[in-house]
Amino acid sequence: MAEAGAARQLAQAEAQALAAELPPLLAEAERLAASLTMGEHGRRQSGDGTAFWQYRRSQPGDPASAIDWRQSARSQHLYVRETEWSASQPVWLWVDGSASMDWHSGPSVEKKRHRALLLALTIAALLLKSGERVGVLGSDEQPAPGRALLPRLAESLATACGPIPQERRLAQGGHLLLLSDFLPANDALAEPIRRWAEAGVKGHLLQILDPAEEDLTFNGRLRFEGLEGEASLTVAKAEELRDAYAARLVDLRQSLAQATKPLGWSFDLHGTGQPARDGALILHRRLAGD
Amino acid sequence: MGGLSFSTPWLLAAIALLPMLWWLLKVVPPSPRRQIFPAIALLIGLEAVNRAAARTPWWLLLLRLALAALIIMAAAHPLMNAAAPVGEGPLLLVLDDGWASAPAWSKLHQRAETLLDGAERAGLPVRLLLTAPAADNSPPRLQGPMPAAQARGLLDGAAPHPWPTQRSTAARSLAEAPSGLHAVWLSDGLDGEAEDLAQALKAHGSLDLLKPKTLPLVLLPPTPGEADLVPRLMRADTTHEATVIATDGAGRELGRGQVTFGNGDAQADVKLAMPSELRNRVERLTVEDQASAATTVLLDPRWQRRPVGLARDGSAAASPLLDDLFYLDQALSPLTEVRQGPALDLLKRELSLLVLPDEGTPPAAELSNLKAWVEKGGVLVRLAGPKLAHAPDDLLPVALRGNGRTLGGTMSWTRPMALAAMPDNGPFAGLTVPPDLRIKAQLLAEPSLELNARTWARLEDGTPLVTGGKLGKGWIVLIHTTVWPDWSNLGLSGLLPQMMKRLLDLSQGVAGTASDHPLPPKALLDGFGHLGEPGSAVDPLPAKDDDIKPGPKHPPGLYGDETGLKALNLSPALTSLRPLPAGLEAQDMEQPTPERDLRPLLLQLALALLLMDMAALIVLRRGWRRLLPIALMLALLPIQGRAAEDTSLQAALQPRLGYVLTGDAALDATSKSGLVSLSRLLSRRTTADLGEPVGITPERDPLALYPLLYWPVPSHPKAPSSLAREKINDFLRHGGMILFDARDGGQSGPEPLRIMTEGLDIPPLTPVTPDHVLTHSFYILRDLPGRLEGSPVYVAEGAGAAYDGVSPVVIGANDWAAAWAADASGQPLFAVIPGGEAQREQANRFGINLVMYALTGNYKSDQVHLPAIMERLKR
Repeated sequence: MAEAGAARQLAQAEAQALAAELPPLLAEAERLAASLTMGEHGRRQSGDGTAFWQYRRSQPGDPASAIDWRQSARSQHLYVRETEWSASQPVWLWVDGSASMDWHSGPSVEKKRHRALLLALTIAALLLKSGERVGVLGSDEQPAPGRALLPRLAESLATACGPIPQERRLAQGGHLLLLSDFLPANDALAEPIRRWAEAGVKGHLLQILDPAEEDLTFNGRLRFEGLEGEASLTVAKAEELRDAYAARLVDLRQSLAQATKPLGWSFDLHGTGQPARDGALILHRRLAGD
Repeated sequence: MGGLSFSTPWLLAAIALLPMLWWLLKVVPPSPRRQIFPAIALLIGLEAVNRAAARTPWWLLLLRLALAALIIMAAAHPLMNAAAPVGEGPLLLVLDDGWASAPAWSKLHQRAETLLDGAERAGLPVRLLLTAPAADNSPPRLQGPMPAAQARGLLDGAAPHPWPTQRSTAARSLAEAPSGLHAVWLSDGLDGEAEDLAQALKAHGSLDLLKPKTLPLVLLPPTPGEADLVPRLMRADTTHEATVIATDGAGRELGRGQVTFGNGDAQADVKLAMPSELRNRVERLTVEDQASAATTVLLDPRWQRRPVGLARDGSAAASPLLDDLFYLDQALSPLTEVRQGPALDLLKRELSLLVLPDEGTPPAAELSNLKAWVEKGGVLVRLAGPKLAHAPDDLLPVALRGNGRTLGGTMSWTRPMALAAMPDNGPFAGLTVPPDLRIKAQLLAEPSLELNARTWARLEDGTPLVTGGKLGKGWIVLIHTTVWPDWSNLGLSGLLPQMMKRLLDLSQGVAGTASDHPLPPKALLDGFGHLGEPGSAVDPLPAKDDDIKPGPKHPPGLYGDETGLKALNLSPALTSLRPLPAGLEAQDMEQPTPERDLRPLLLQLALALLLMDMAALIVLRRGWRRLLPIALMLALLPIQGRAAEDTSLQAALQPRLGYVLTGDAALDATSKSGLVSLSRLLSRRTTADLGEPVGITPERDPLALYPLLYWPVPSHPKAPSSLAREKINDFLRHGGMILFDARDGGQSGPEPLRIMTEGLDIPPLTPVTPDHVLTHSFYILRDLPGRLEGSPVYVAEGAGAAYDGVSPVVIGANDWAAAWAADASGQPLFAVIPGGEAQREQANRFGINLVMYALTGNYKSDQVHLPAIMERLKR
């Protein structure tokens, strides 16, 4: 009993610490989103959007209020103004919550998790502004529209993103954003990706790495320790490992790219050493549906 | 001895472990730097290529071995020039604490401390035997066994006593001590039952006998009544030269004499020649650099010489044998300095006794002068003769009948008459009358009520021969006959010099009636020859007994009250002064070089190496960058230390007193010592915690940092320079305070002070009144004495309204710094005048009040107005 209570208290304390980070993160995300342009993307067919699509002759049964009187006055016929059908798609976000994300090589770069949250929230803000429905893959709630949703999204992104929920069923035609360092390499990802792709979900993977992880910038005699219970490793001269490490990293990335490409999914790279804007642009471009 | 030694040498065996440490350190390298790395999975499998066995760098290995070696050596407690190791068995420390130990006491004490240190290290119990009787007159006894720390407490409490040791009593107290002791006897180097004690000590174990390098001297008092002060110095060893200094009651040097011992002589006389005015002020003789009770001779009025005047109006008698004054000159010359001349000329100099021969009625001017002089304390001795018989004046102790009477002679039935025994009430009490003394003629006194009391010597038939009466503070004495053999053979008898000596004593205030009761102790010498307050165990000195040996019951010093003073000196009681007998082998007490403990040095070195090792580990694990902030911090520390050495900065960090440097080294030293003592006193008695006082030069140093400046007036004052003037005025205007001290009790007038304060903005002054804040700021004081007392103290008028109610200057002449000044051990450096520790305490209290006044301003003036405030509150 006491142990469970203590664990709950600990979890609460962690959540509170995270929540304290959220408002500045949100503000930062909003600012980043404002710098990117993204409108409602038209469906290129008439619908109940707000953008003008076409005029058509009035037909019996059209309500009188639907008639565009100014257009009708120019000719003999009565015209009705039709707007484009703008449909909103569900977009799921997932930020890796594993311990390895909670790391940075030094105080000059931000933690990978922080960068991932920032990017996810930026995209969420953009999507919500354009009326899309956004949800968090880890939480039980369904994707929903509305800009007021953003703070709640931020909270569930920060707290509810555990390991990837493999059993989760996703609606057809939706988009899925997976932000992680994809370390250590595991094959558990391949199966759900295939299933979701079969269900018609389009996925975008963004690998976020620290500069030290990209280039192995360490020197000298070191004892490496992992964050997820890996055995520690003592090396005499870290700099000699650099090339071999780089080759292994390339292998990892290739395997990820090969796993996603056939399914029509995308795989991109982002380093915490780069500006956050670059990552946001990549995701934006992928979502805008090139 | 000498060189390097270890107190626990067996610990050095641990050095044998160093090779093992070498091996151990080599095998276990310092742990590598820790690096958290999420992508560790990518590295696993790669490392097989370069898992080279890491090794401890050779320099780190060396560093650590040196560190271990240092710690082992420190644990073995190395000592440089260690004292002779305490012999086998418990330590018995024997200390001579009689008068003779005083000159070498510090060395003796230091040596005893070293011995106790040794005993403490060896964990041996200590017994302590002090060979002089204690101040409460308890005989010397063996103390202990006790731990060395406790013995050190007793040792710190011990001080040389101003009386001799009692070594055979001390030897008897060893009776119950066990044997097997290791005795160390720190002796004063003089014989005196030394064999007894040495044998007793040897009977209980081994004995180390130590003696000081130079043996003490003894200064014998000069013979009273001689023309010059001729003290005698005794030596026990081969001391060649010494200097005897004569000082007055205030400690001022009046004269000094160099003593050179002849070859093989044990004694040498030194003649201290000085004018009799100075000579009479001598109250103490000391030997330079030999502070002990036996080299301090106190002189009471017995030694004072009063010059005597014989008034003579030019015309001497045809033959000296027909002249009164010739006989008196013969009688007085051995006793004192005799001057002859007209009465008025003689009175111009200091004179205690004046003899006026029978030369007719003096003129009126001379009479009034004489009368004034007698009233101030002079003794006027008049001689009878035909002229006085013819025309008596009124400067006489008794009224005279017109004519004298003649006893014997051809026309008379009577015969020349002898003197009756001297009456007990006069100054001649106790003198024996020579049987062949005959008086042939005398002047007769009118019978009156007081005639009997005024008669100091009478003839067989009861008629007065010498009468005396008090006038003011002085006496008028009339000898009713001639001194030359016209009317009597008094001038030829041995009685005359004795009578004149008694009359001289009269002029010194030692009236014959004075010392018939025991004399209470007034001020007593301690072992170092300093006068101090008497303790409670001291008995009064019996008046009649001249054979008192100084001891705990009667320590040497001054005894007496306002009726008379008697000095009891230690040195006449010291019959012999011999070095230790040749049979006793004594070593020199002084160590060539003091013992030096090397352990702290080694531990400091080890600590430095440890820090270097830590720095090396930080570098190895974290890289240089982590070390940088620490190194930076360490580098900044000495810079701070250097900056703190600046005097002004120090003064700004802690309030402290300042004194103005006058250029007179002795005066500046007194100022400094006075202020240091005052600061110490303040921190002990009040919450004011002042720093070390600083000497300042107004031109150069910032004044604003000092709440109070002490400015003594030097003997040749100079006006301040214009720069100094400006700065001082600024200081005074902005809340500073200066105590000007003319240091002379107001004797030299305001002139020196006026020169020194020329151009300073000193407000109108007024004497300190009893309700001034200065008398209430900490203690409630009535007067404000320093080394001197009585001269008024001035402050700004109207409580210094222009200066925020606090007077910016306090001006006086009581030489306060000299009263505050004390040496390192708290012994005052200067005697206070008129004297007494009560006055010094008052001076200290004035100092505290003054600093409080400077620090708190008129805060306490509320207390002055308290009655008025209470009155208002009641309403």
